[in-house]
Amino acid sequence: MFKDITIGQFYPTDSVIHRLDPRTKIIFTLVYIILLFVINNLWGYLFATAFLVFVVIASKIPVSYVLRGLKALVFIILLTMILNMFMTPGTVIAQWGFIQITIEGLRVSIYMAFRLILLVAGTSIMTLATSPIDLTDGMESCMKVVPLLKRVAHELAMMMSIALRFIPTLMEETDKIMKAQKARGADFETGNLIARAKALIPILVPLFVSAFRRADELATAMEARCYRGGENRTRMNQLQFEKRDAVSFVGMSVLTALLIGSRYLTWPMPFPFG
Amino acid sequence: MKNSKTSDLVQLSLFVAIIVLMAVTPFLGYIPLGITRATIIHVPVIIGSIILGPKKGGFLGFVFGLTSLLTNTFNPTVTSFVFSPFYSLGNYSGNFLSLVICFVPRILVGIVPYYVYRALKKKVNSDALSLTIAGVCGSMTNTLLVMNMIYLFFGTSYAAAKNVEMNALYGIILGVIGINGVPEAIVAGVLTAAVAKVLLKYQKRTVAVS
Repeated sequence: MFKDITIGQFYPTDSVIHRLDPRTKIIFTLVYIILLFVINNLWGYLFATAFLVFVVIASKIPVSYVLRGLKALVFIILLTMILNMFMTPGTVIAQWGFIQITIEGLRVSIYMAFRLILLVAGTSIMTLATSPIDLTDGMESCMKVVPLLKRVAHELAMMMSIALRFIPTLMEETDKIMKAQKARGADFETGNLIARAKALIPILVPLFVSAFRRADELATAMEARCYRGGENRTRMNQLQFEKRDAVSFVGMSVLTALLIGSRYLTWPMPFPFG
Repeated sequence: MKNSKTSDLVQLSLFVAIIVLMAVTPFLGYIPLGITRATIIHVPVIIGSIILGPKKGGFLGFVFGLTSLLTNTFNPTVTSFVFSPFYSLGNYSGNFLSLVICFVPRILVGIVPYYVYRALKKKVNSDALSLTIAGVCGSMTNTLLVMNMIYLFFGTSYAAAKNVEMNALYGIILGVIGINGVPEAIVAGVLTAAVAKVLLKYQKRTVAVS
């Protein structure tokens, strides 16, 4: 039951993308998301797609892995495409009864499909190519630059690492608790609302209590090792920008220029976009 | 003597872990009710609010909003554009306002129950009753605010997604509140009372020991 969780998976390979500094990847992903909203014609989307394909190849992650994340999107993309196609007012190009397709509708729906696919594929590449620990490290040092988050950056990052560390443990624990209660004859699948809510009590109470106990133990362990927050804390692996990061920043600037430039591109485009 | 700062940090992290866990495991996050399903993802936020206080509760609410933003973006359903700024429908697109819907009510879910519990605890001297009502209030904060904000911000496009007339829309919204919101509130009340009572006792005991 706990096998089909896909959010934030990591696929380790030894590619250049994996070895990039996590800060580079985080900044790159943010810039990329913003750029997706800047694009306003098909050329921009084609450039962005080409770029994404390049990154996927460079990351050595199997394409099927990246596409798996898009599976959940198929239905909503189709639905919104159909709705957009038929409901946007504008120049009519095809009509059947009261149903009509307009150029504007076609354009809006294709752009949206592009934007969504690029967004989801792009961000999943980042999580696929960055280990959770690198990701929290990168986020911590990125947050340290933001004035409002500066003071809590360390705490937030520490909380993220602890939460990430304990999610699998708690998951296992839930599984164990459920089996234990089932062995005692608990029934989770039948009954009315109140009965079902009550059936959850014997799962949730042990889960929360054990989480609290673990928290106590962990806090004691951290204190015993003299943890006292982020001040003057040093780390074993310092993040360091390298040549490949510089190269990817250059690549980012080129992509930004290309995509912003594409807004003013007036080359003839294929049919519905011309 | 334990440093309370560290143990606060760790407790909060464990709550975050539980919220994320519930958000990603369908079995834990939802109770199927035949036609619809009642979510119980907000229950840990309510419990966190009562046990850890309004500030941390608010933070947990923010985490809840974040998980909702992520699931609605990466694992969307028909009406996801309400919660995620990345979807657009016709001329109406999810935008900044969807971020407001995604976060503001959820943050309040982490704040309201604490004050309800505190206020009631003084009036009626029953933990069970005040915890239940705090749970119901927390759940209602979520449902009522989210649905009314949807009506205010996205009325026309939500109607298009559900394929109904605009003036029938408030009826539908009331229907959702009735069909989803009321059972959710009941479930939240039952669970909050049961879990928070045990945790409050546990907390008192450990404070006494250390």
